[in-house]
Amino acid sequence: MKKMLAILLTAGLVAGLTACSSGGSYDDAAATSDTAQTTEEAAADETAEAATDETADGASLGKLLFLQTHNDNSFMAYMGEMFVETAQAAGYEVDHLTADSDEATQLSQIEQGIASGQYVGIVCDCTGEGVTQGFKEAQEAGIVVITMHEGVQDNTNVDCVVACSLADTGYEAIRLEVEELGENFNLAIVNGSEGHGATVAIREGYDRALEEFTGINVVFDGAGNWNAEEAMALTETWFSSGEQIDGIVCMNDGMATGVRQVMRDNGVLGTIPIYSNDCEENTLDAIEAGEQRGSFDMNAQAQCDAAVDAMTKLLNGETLEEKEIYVEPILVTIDNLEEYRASREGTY
Amino acid sequence: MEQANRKKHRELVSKLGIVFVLLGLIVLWSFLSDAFFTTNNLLLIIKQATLYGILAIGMTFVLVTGGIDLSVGSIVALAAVFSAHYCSGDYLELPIIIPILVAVVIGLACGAVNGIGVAFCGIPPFIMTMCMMLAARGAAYVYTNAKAIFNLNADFVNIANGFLGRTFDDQGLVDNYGIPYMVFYFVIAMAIGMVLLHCTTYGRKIFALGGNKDAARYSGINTRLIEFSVYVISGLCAGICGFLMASRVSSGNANAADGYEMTVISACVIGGVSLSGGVGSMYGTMIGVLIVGVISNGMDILGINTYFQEILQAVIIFAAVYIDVHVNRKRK
Amino acid sequence: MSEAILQVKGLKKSFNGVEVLHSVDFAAKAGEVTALVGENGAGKSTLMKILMGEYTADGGEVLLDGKQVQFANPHQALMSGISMIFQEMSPFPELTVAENMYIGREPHAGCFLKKKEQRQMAERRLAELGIDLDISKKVKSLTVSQIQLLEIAKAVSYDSRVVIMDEPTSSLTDSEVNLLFQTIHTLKEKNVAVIYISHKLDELFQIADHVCVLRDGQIISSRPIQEVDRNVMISEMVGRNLDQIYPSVEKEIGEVVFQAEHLTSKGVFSDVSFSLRKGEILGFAGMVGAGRTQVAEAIFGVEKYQEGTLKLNGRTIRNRNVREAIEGGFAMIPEDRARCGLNLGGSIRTNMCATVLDRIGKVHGLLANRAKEQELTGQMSEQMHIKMNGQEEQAAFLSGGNQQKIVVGKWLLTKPEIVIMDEPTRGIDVGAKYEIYQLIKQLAKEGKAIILISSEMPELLGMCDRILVMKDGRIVGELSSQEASQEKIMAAIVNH
Repeated sequence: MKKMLAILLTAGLVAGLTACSSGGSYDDAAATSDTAQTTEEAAADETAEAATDETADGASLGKLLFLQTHNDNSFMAYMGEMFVETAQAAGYEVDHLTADSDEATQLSQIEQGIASGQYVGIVCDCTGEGVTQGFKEAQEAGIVVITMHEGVQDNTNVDCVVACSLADTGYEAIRLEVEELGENFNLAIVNGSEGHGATVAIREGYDRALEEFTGINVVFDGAGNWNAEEAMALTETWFSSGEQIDGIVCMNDGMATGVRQVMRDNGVLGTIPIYSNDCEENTLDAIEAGEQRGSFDMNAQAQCDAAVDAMTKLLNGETLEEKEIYVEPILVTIDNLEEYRASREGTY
Repeated sequence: MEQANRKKHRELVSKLGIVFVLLGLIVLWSFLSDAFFTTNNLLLIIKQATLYGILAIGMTFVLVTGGIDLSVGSIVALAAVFSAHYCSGDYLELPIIIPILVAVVIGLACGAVNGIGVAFCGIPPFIMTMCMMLAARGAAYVYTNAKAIFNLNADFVNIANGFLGRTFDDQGLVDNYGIPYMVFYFVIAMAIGMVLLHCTTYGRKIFALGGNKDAARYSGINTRLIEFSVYVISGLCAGICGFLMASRVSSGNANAADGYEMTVISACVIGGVSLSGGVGSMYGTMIGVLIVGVISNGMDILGINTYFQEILQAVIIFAAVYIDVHVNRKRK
Repeated sequence: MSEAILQVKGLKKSFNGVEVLHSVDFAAKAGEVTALVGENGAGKSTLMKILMGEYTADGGEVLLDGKQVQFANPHQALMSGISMIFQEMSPFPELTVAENMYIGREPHAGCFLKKKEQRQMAERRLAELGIDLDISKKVKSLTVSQIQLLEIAKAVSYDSRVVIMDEPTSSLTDSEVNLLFQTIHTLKEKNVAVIYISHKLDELFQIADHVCVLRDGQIISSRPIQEVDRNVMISEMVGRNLDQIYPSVEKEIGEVVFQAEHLTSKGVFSDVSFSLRKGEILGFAGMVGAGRTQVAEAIFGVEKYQEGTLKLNGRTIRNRNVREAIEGGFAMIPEDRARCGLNLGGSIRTNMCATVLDRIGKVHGLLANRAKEQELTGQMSEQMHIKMNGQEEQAAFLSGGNQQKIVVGKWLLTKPEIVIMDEPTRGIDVGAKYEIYQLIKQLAKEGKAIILISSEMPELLGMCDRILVMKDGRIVGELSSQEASQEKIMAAIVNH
């Protein structure tokens, strides 16, 4: 009886794994092998035809490894899908992995990618500085390395950097508050998780603005750890302290959702300006309802386009005009909301 | 006589059962991907399992006494940021033995505090090491002010990232992959762990303590000292992992090794170490660590989404332990 | 009155092809105490487990009120009126007496407990049985005998018509035993059939109406208590004639090796002084809780003492911990075998060698010496006649007697001069008991000094050269073997 159950379990396990590996992802890794010289075979591969209908000859340009820090929120998930779509449209096959925000995991993924010998290029949204070690190995193995969205400081082993400056969004958010409230006001800041790359980057922008606008009095400054619950708990305490708050900046939409709830409870929703990042659906609704002033989009589409474009050029042996490509963030406010929504066509 | 033979046979099967799981996974992955069963990838699996492996050695000692150490991940982070600090910036030129020693000392100190709390103050291991887990993680954030430490000494970075016998061709591309240094660390650490747990009187005492603490005390075994010592060993392993982690990711990051304790504990459990103490082997732990490594490596190669991986990991751990409990350990 | 409630006919059971019960016939009558005796391994537990539905019989039938029954689990048995009070009881220490009695079937209205009703029901049950227990007390504050009474009350509260008691007196003192026997008499009056399993033959003559001897899975004899002859019964149990239970060995008592002077541990025992000679067997008599075990633990370095001195061969020693005690030549066979004596999950070899790991280790005791471990385990198992399937067998699978032999064996490996034995024969069968007695005498003959703590007075009287009586942490009497008797020991306890 128990033996039966054990056998069943094992069988279920094997079935599950097989299903996941064949159905769960973008192509059949076992079918195509070795390095870049697999174009002929890949052409016959059924996954290639399903993925690419735009490329004229239908031939694959090779396989890319796309690594993301995580895809826990709708922006990151959108960017992940966007990249896979863009790259497939350009004629690549793509394997897409996420690292659960762990540096060592991402490094392992890079190493495995190199060891498997099936990739021509790596596009990486970096978890931290540690992955540079992997980039070095990748270059030694002749693989093109592009960082996208989140980069690293040491770019010696990176062929191209594509990014949208988070720091700029931070600076811009506070500048917009100044525009509305004047030079002297009380500001509250809701940060992401301490030590997180994006937190550090946006913070750099905040600090730059605070240095410039010396009249701003930062009354509260705390970490909401990227999620609504913690941001709520934090701001509830702030509002109950009785301290006057004139404006709020918040590092992502998730936390802003929590903050808006607290503002609603305190009857100040819509009167206190608040800016955040990511342009998630419910934030767009809040902007429409006049509850939030604006949100920044890291322009996933433009980043993906730039990265795929650069990859193609590098693989063709061309040199890039600029090694570092910066994409402008999009600020969405009540003024351009309709236009922005139309451009997204409800994709997210 | 025949009965004794049959029993031996059964014991052998139960000992080897877990190896079959490992081999089964390897066969499965090889079948699903050509890229899996290559020398380079197999070496890579060991390389990536090294950090978990070294932590699992210390964890095995703790688990066999019937305790648990939740703080290893945090101690790794604390040791990592300190050792990164002492081989970067102003200290860039220091001999690399300094950051290594710093990490080891931090690991030992944290382990000693755990040990004192559990063995001498009578605080339950779960609570004591949970406190250490919070404190060490917090200390790492305080120390770095939540910023990563970069630009480490190149020799230091080479400790975890170097290869033995790696050669390049004239275009600077890798010619011969070589053997990662980490593989040697894994093998050496496992060998030391095995000898210590299975071939010394100290190891015998750990099993006696885990089996029945009172009986061990009545047998003249210094149970407090032994209990204290296993946490020190676990701390030491975490300290070693600390500098290896800093070297591997060439930076000191306060959020490093987050959640590693659970992976390590599950690797031990897969390897047949009992959470109630007194049962386990270093050999099993090693296989458990490799199983965890093979699972994640294989799924990454197949491009399975990380979140799917977590579900599958849960299923595999459940299945491994279920088989172990209900098939291998059938009693009279 | 003589209606058989429970009847067992031709019951068979085998494990892994080995038949442990060969066609057992057995009956328990209403209003009678049917005693079941036999060595450990004779098949008593297997028989009881079949009755309780834990095992399924391979053949034969069980009749309850003349109707054939087969229980799938203990719960069914309980609901049909058969309950069992186990040797190792497992009540819920944090719950009260009343809560323990009705655990899992609390009177309730909807999802709310009717606590008051529960208390009343519990009180009524206890009163019926004449048991004096505070129902609002937590079980952890009760004594062992009180817990046992509680378990009996709980069994009766299921309206059980058959109550099985497995070694109910193994951890009770004499007065507590009397209390238990009163309760059993009440059960008899209520027409309950009691099946009473015991190793203590003296008790049977006090309480049993009918005695069945089980040996090697067969009923050897079944007769009313009036027709039972003690010596015949013993030889039926062990399958051989015992000349006498307590072996007599010629031995010499030498000079004083150990002295305890004014030993005091606050609130536990005070001013305990005695001396011990080579070749002497010194008994400690007294009630459970008199502080005998605590004195032994203090001498052995397990517990602390505040005042007093210990002298070994005239030299003052401290014995601050067990290691010091072992180095001084002390050994202690602890009272609670499962808790303090053995690592039940470990093998015979690891248990046996736990005391001498450092001594036999290679390289200054650092490396474990497996070959030597195997050699010593082999020697000792042979010397102690331990029945086992190889040295790697798990200790948990051995019978109580064999387990106890391992505990004794692991201490003999340290080559001790002074051996403290705390209840060394508790819960083991007559045959193993006899072997342990022989061993104790043999050790004394070899010149070792022995401290024997026991709650069985006949054992002390039969074995010891001198008996100290303890009460409330003090020594209240000393009797030589010539003058000692049960009456004098009791008198020493009562008169202080």
